[in-house]
Amino acid sequence: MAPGRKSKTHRPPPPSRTLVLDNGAYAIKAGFVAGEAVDEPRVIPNCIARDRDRKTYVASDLDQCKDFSEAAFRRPVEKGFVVNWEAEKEIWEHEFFDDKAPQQCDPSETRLLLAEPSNSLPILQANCDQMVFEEFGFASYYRGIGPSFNAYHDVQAILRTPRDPETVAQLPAEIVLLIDTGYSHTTVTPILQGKPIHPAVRRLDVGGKFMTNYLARLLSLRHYDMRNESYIVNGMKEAACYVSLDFNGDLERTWKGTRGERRDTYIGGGGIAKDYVLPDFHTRSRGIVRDFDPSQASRAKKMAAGETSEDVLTLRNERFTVPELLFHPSDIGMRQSGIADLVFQSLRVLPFGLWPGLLANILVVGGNALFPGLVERLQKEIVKLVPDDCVVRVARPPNPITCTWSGGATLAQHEHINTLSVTKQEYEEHGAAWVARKFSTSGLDS
Amino acid sequence: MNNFGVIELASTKTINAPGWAYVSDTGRGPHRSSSTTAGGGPSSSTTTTTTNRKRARAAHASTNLSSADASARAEVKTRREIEVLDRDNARDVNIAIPAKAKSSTKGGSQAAKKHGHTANVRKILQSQKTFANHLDDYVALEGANPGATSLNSGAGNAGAASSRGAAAAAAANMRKTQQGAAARRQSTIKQEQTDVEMPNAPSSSTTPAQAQTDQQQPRTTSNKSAILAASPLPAPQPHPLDSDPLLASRVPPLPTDDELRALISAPPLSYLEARAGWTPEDRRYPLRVFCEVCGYWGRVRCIKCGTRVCALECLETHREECVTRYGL
Repeated sequence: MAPGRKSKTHRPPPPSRTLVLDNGAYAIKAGFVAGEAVDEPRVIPNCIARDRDRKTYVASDLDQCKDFSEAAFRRPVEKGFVVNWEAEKEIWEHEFFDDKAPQQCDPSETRLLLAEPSNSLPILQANCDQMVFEEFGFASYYRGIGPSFNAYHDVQAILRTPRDPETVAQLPAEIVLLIDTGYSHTTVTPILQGKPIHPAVRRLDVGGKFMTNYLARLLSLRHYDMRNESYIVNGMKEAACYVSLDFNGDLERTWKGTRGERRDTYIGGGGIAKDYVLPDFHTRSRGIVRDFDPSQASRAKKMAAGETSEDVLTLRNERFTVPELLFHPSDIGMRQSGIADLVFQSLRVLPFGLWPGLLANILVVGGNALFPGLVERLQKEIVKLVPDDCVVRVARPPNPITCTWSGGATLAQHEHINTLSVTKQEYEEHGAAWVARKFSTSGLDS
Repeated sequence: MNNFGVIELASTKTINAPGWAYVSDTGRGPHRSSSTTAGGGPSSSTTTTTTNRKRARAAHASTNLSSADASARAEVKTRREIEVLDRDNARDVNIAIPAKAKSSTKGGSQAAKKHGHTANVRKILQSQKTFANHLDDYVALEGANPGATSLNSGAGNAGAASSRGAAAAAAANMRKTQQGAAARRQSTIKQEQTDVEMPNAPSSSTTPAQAQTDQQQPRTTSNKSAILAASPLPAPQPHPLDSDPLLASRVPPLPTDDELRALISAPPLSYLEARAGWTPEDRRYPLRVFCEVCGYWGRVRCIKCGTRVCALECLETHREECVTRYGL
């Protein structure tokens, strides 16, 4: 009892600088907050990569890589949680602590604000706390549920609620239903006053990685073997895939038809087919999406014209069947409901009185939110599931990838953070178990 | 294969194997009803029916077996495919941490520079466990003592690992004091917040639109909620038809503050519990099946392996692969 109170009263002043870190499985979003000054976050690949020549690149060194064919990646984050600290330490040191680090910081004078996904395993959380204090030695530290950081945004502005222009946004937002669709998974988190309602958090094990691999499989079956080219396929997915608003119609338009009678929509592309020029990493380092050119469609013609300088893949139904996995994971035999039903499953745990508030304030963040049409389709599907009286509004923040980070940056300026975070002294005094308990019960006391 | 030097000579003699003959497909034979009842499933009624009782039984047994076999095989196949889709690299790769030059480590993390790694850190760094390993450990631990919540087991785990190793009684004590402090803090904050929010509540509860219906009575009372405050916007203009029962909108009552607080403070679910399930809603419609060659609807099945394809053209493409895998 006594030491706990003592440490409260003799708290050292909080560090002036905060490192806000959204440690995603694909990319780290990192930046400093010092008082009012908020850095633009850097998006750092969270991986150690090796190219075909067996040269190794750590994190942001990946920019120097010229040839991504057959690149292999080691990712320390699995399913959204840091699992392999050996690699993660290497990446963090490379980015933040080394002499030549691009975002150099002195941990002993910095507070760390770390975002983690919900429903973590206790042992992984304990490992994380121990690494932060015992290895890196941050002065002060808060580990929070990443999705809930998004409540520290002007949510009503993102949803374009008509209102008095002088209204000051309330931070954190009162009520948000957050859909975070990232590299490893998609989660639905209802948030009240910046705090997640844990029993209603639901997860779908489909994320960006899954979709990239699925696209690679489809292309390997239909065109070239791309299974080892996850980097190229990922670029293709980001550039060409979209969420279909009329799946059946689009599928119909991309079908070749029966033998002997090719459909016109197939020959002409139907407005859906796109050519993707593969990068060859000599003259072209990035792939390009082009409108489908029917005259180049047949390979025989292309060979006849002697055009061997570029490798073109024609993407047809691959463009929308891949993101369709978010809405129908059962299409590949996964026994899980789609994202719209995920929202409904989450709502069903909650009292009915909260439904209107949550449904009218749905935010979609994460890299997959960049698929064109995702927001519209989600709105369409959720409206079908919920009672007619409920207003459903779905919106995407301007930059869904760094949205969690910038929410965390706002939290770092908020006065809440001083009561939430734990100092190194407290850790040394009370131990890791105390810290874990404090973070998991922090929803109670503010 | 050289077949151990034995060379088979082609013989001209042919033997009719017993139990093999061309059977005309009689379709609606006299015994059809009996054979379908014996078959009992739609699969046997769609297959060719025979008049021969023995053959019907054999056919029935073999189709049933093969369909069960096929579905089990398909399930294994989809499970394996999903596992493959969940991997970071198609191949197994082992990328070692690049060796660092001495100069760059000089300004490394403070703790490491001064006195190497602590025991905990060394353990964590050397651990080669994957997420699946950790998850299995967690499930096993949960199974061993089901009473422990995720929070407690994590605390116990970390406590044992921490160098401090505080006694359990002390930990419990600490938890109690913390909860007490939390409750105290909570109550003060509640007071503050109600103080702040109070001016809003009367303004909205006195508006005619809200006071009209009984339905909204609970809502006006819960507007005093410390967690979900009333909208600062003025209420809409009253309209003569507001009391019309056809036009009245029903807003479900907000949960009380205590309910909300209970929701917020509820402990997180475990990793496996949070996984979204498979609801009756999903089972209402049959699964969508796609052509494995081109991705259009899978309208036809390959007779040999049951793979779905869309039409003859794709079926032929598939045949080539099917033949190499299963033979003619």
